[in-house]
Amino acid sequence: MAGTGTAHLRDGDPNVLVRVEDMVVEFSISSGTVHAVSGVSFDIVAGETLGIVGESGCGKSTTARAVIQMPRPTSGSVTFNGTDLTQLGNEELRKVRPDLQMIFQDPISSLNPRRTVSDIIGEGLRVWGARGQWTSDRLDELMEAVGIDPRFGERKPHQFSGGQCQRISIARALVLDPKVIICDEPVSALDVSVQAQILNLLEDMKQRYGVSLVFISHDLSVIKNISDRVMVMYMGKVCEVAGADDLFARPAHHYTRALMASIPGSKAVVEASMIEGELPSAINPPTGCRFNTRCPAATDICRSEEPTIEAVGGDHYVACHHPATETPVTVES
Amino acid sequence: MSNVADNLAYTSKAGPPDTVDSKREWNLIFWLSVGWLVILVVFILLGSANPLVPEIERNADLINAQPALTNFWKDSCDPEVERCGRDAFVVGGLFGNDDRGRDVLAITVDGGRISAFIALVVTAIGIFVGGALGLLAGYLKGWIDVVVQIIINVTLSVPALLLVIFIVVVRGRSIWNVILAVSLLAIPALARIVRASTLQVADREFVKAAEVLGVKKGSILFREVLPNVMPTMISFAFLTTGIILVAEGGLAFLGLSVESPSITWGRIISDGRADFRDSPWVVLTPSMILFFTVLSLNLVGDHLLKRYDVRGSGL
Amino acid sequence: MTANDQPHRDRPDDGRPDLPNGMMLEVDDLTVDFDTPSGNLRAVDGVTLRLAERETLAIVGESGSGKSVLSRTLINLLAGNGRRSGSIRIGGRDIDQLSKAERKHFFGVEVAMIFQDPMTSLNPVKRIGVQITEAMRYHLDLSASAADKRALRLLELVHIPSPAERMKQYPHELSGGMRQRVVIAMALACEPRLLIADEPTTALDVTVQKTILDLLDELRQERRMSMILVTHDLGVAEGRADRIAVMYAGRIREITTTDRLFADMRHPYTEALLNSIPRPDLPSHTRLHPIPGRPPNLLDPPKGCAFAPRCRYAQPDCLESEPPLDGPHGHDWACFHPVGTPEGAAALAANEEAGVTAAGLSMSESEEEFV
Ligand SMILES: Nc1ncnc2c1ncn2[C@@H]1O[C@H](COP(=O)(O)OP(=O)(O)OP(=O)(O)O)[C@@H](O)[C@H]1O
Ligand SMILES: Nc1ncnc2c1ncn2[C@@H]1O[C@H](COP(=O)(O)OP(=O)(O)OP(=O)(O)O)[C@@H](O)[C@H]1O
Ligand code: SF4
Ligand code: SF4
Ligand SMILES: [Mg+2]
Ligand SMILES: [Mg+2]
Repeated sequence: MAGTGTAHLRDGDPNVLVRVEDMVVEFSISSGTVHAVSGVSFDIVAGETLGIVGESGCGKSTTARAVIQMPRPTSGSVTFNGTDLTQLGNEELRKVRPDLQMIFQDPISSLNPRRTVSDIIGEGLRVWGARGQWTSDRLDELMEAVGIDPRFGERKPHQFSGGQCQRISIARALVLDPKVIICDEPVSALDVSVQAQILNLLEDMKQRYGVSLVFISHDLSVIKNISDRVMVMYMGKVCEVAGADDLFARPAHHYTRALMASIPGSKAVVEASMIEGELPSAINPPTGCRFNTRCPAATDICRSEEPTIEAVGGDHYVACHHPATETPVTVES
Repeated sequence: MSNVADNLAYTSKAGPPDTVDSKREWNLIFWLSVGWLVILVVFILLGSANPLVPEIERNADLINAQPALTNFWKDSCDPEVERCGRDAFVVGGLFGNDDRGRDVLAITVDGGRISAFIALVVTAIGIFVGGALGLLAGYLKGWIDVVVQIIINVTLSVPALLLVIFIVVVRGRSIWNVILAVSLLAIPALARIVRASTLQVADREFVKAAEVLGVKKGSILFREVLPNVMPTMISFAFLTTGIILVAEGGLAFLGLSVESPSITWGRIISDGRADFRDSPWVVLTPSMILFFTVLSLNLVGDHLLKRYDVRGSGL
Repeated sequence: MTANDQPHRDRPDDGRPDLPNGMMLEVDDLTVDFDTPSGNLRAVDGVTLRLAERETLAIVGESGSGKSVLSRTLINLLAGNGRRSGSIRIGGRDIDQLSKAERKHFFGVEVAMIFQDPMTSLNPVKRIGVQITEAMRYHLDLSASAADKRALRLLELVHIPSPAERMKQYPHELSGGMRQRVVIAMALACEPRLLIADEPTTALDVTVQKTILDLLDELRQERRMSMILVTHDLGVAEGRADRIAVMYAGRIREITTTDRLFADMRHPYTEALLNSIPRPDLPSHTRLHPIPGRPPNLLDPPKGCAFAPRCRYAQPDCLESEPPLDGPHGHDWACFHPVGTPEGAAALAANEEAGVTAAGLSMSESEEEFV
């Protein structure tokens, strides 16, 4: 298996909250099977932000949704608090849901247009009652905390801007005192200055309420800003896992390096093979390392054998036969 | 709050807002249609208690039809027959009378009662049964969807007319059999529309968000999905009512609508055909009323669809 | 003007008039108003611009600042409820003075546009080849085979692999990046001298974005094109533009060369915009500084400087009159208390002292405004 392996899992750490091992998600479509996620492993430590970055279609959303079993992965395990979520029945799974919340990309579409804002935020309490610090009497305080004026509680979502809608989504997720919030491109639809507000808000909420975040984005600057640890994905596989600053200072996977060189403003040159190479089909992924069709450093072994994830020093892991550990790319802006 | 408009300006990247004029125009047509429907309902409910509508001469013998309003049709009458010259307002009422001397307005109102009854009951059955099927299929998907889709496709692929003829012929021409027959057509059609609309809503992220919160499926269906499908259902209810009014007319033409002495719009029109040359008003009056009613139902349905379709209205 | 060192040119540009004073685009006091149900909306307010041959000007600003309206107006695509005043000269020709016949082959030929979403400019039910050749045959009066040959070359030019096959495909059969390349090829089909790109890469992945922007750069050099690059990404603007215009509420607030803008910015809005974006060169968890508040309601713009309610430098005079766009050495800004000047420093100090700006904005960092 290429790009697989579990070397980067922190099994010794008692604070590991979610442990995903060898997760596979496949979709059957008329023209074959889409290999959306192929053997991805990662873990999340309490209070940490894990950033997932990669090109469109590489399986970021599918990975995150499979963690909360929406839909359930084809194979692999997702351990949360010692229970394997993939083994739970629907009703047991529903009982775990409050701990694993999610924020979506489209701020408008993620709020029911026919319900009031306080209704939307209070929905979790209606179902589960108070689970932690938030009760229906303290909704105002929660709205205050995410920057929504509580006086607007009786309004409908369409009366709010995109940024405000995203704040409402954040409040809805927080009301159940979750352990993990999955944020699937929560700022991609927002204007630049609003994006900063939401990023700051998520950072504050994480600090204040000790929640872990899984933050998905295709924007490397955003990922770097918000993440403690970053996982780079390519075609349903993990390429590289490292601390945010470390990854940006010393990208070792050739795909990560290509991403870094593509950051607007970066002066680095992207290798021609990246430019000419089209993203291969997820129905028929390349054998060996899935990046070999576009990789400037690909050799025969890359086409036949899949690399496994290995440490390249410190808390930095790469799945590559020829990792570029010597020559750091300078990221300028 | 001026914020509201201004918020919208920055959230929706949609194009320019509608111009005022096109909206006003719409509203006028909409309210005219609503007005027509209200008048119709009042007439039907009041029935013979309405001083504007003459009593129906139930036992009237077959007599020559009376022209409406003017003596425009006088020439076609036989001058030998005395009755022909009678003032339309005296005997014939506003819309003249038919070959049995019954006032056309009166029978139209009377027929409207049964036509409307059939249309409304069928629509209600269609919305409840078809709507429920569509909602379940569209939201739960899986095997329920497969079964519902099969039901929809099978019923819609059986020639509708044959099905109706079969039911009415086998079971007799009572109102309830007509309702049953037409309902069998309305249910799959509405189920299909509601299913499509549900699929669209169920795909939206707020439904996913409710699932993530651990809300039970039934609750999601009623609290998140249904309120967003409802406007579509209501607007299609209006459209369906119109279609069924017409369908009942079709049945009447085939002699398959309710039995005498009950009358419906379809029956009046189909019975009046025989004397169309001499007394066209007998056919034209209920036809025009049917036409305006169906048109109004369509316009109201369309307008509601546009107004409350959350995507379309740019909310 | 030498035409012989243009390997890709199929059409000699002999027939083209020389640009007066080397200016590709001269916009003077351009104003665009829209009639809306809630009243008059001024989306572009007195914009004056100069763009030289081969130059790239980036227009940056928040959503709603009028970037798209401005660029669409330049190519005569103003929405039906819009009104324009002020003059636009492209290649030395006033677009209002064009004769009907000239007009027919002006927009789309001399000046072309690329939109953000390639799907909006492609017809989903027509083959790629047909779509590219259509415009050429109309504007350049080419035969079908000549147009086909030219389309093939254009697709090669925009680095589309196996172009002959692509010509027979439909838009949905191509990836987003490929589609955008097709749109670029279409825009280039008639050899425009001015290309207006409205967020050409916003919908695309970073790697694809990079290749598309590289491509545009290359084409601009080779074909002596001038380009207006509309973007909300300061990184893109920094990497690609010779000059940058910062727009806010329909006006240009600062315009200068790219290097000077980043090294020596003057307008508080430019500074605020830069501080609000995460930058890859800053360490993880660097606190961002969002711009407080929201852009003004263009239906009812505030008196004085439109940025005043959100400006940390705002003084009483900012609320009175609109600062003019002016400055030395090709660096213009519209501000009474510019960043990096004694006036700016004094204004900031005074506001910090008072804890609140003249427009009532709280100066304390912790109190982020409700957005
Ligand atoms: N329900 C589905 N049915 C079939 N294929 C799917 C489905 N959902 C996702 N895919 C496919 O799986 C792959 C991964 O998709 P996914 O949405 O996870 O990517 P992503 O990294 O989130 O991309 P983006 O940045 O565009 O959101 C893609 O090839 C996609 O087409
Ligand atoms: N046809 C129109 N009718 C009325 N108002 C319009 C019209 N077109 C644009 N506007 C308004 O003009 C202003 C400027 O819009 P424009 O699209 O130019 O912004 P932008 O800077 O391109 O923003 P974005 O980054 O979101 O694309 C906005 O307030 C917008 O609502
Ligand atoms: S060097 Fe080989 S293994 Fe490493 S990224 Fe390139 S193709 Fe994959
Ligand atoms: S200092 Fe005054 S003029 Fe300058 S941007 Fe701020 S409010 Fe406008
Ligand atoms: Mg995604
Ligand atoms: Mg725009």
